[in-house]
Amino acid sequence: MLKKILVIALILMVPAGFLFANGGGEKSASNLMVIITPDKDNTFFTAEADAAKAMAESLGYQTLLVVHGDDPNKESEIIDTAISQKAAAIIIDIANADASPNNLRRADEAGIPVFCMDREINAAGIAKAQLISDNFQGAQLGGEYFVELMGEKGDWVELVGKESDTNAGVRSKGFHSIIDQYPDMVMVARETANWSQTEAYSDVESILQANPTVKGIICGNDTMALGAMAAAEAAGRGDIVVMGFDGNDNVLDSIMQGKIKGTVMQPNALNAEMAVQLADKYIKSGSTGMDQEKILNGCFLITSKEAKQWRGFKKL
Amino acid sequence: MRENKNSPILLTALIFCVALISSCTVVKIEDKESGEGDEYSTWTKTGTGFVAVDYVESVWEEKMIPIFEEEAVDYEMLMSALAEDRQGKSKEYGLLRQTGEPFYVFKVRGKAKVLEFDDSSRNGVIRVDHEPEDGIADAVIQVGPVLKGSALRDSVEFIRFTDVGNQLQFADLAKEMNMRMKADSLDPLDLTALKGKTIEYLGAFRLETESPLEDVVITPLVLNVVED
Repeated sequence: MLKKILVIALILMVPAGFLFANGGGEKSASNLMVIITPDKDNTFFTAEADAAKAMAESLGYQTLLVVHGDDPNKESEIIDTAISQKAAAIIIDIANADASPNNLRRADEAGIPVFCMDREINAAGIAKAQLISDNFQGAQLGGEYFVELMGEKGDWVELVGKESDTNAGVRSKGFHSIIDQYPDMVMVARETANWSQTEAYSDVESILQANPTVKGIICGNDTMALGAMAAAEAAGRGDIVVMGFDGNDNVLDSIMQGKIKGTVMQPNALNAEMAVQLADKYIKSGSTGMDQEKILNGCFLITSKEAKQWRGFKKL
Repeated sequence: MRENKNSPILLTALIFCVALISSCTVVKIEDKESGEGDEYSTWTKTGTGFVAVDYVESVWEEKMIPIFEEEAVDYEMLMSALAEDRQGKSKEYGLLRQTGEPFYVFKVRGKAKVLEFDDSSRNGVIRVDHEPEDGIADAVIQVGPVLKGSALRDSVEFIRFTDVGNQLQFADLAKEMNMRMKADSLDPLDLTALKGKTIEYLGAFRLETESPLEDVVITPLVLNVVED
């Protein structure tokens, strides 16, 4: 008898769970937005998480901030937690374009709408919306400015980000899609510095010893650009054209001091805010109101002219 | 005895299998490099890899050129309209793109005399003087060999990122449109001999809300020399 009651209770609970998770009404059981980002040490991702959190709280939600450290397994565990807490929505900057869709599908099947920001997943129909930073276009902007500053010729170096991160490859391809059209631009070294400032420093230190003619270094992100610039200065080569990518405040400062020449600002605060707003709309109405899942938000070139207009990845 | 008889067959089968497997691998790598059918493809229309050159071929004559012929407005008229009422006329004549910072893309047409071919950059341009001619350049048209930007791709409403796939494929599409235009319109021309000649064009340009009108560079869709 007790067993029977338990079974009936369980059966009743399942649809109830779906109902709550779908937010089917104003008095939803959960008012929780789970905000998942890759890293809590990189200011790029903390700014993204902060922007999402601020927007969610302004719309009356509770928030839970978690990081997956670019690890799809960790991401999977977080998704399970969000499911067990019956989150109203998941706002996520994914771990991996190919591995993450399976994790997100579980949330979607549990009735929790998923909204991606920054990185895109290689699957359609799982996320309710994807607000994507156009890294390729951003890299092209950076590449064009780099070529311009180099006078369309000379020896250059590329520092690539962590190989496992889709965007490291996307940015590299974007740089090359522009720079390789200029036959007098000669790449003398290409190394991965894993997004790391210290690795970039030691890489550039040895590259410059071997290639004293280097005129420019283009970097897949800003932390590597900071390392590259420091190594160039230490070698008495502060004249080297260094370009970054992300738009973090340290690089903006460096640009204003005339050191690093430029970076590419990602619209990550905008992506985060839009993701939360669409989630809110979806929770309240059952639809994002958009006829497209993917929105590709463009990046901006930041030179000494624009550097002072930005702070914390937001336009002042 | 039976084993001995079968062994050449088995061996052949084994070689065949190895050959099959290795050939499969080769195909996969080629596919990946050409962007066809790789795991990164999410072209929602067909569920297969997005091949920019095929897509451009399928829309170029049938959609792109007819849309421009119908919707492109006179360049001179548009520029003076924008100078007077940037916001209002942008809404009237431009296609608003809200991806990141909003911007407009305009489709234009014009007939103009080429004053100068400037190839000091690989992103070569011609400076032209629209009718009525006054000998002063009033527009810049990029003619390559390096062609920048995605104005052609972004100028038409029927091309949407969400339908194409990922950002690499979307960028590839922009590049392929520029390349198609170059092959059809620019490659047959002797750019160094354009000075003094009159051209007719359809083209597009992108305008950010804050960028000055003087910085406009037109990407042609079609460009012809008018025979005198």
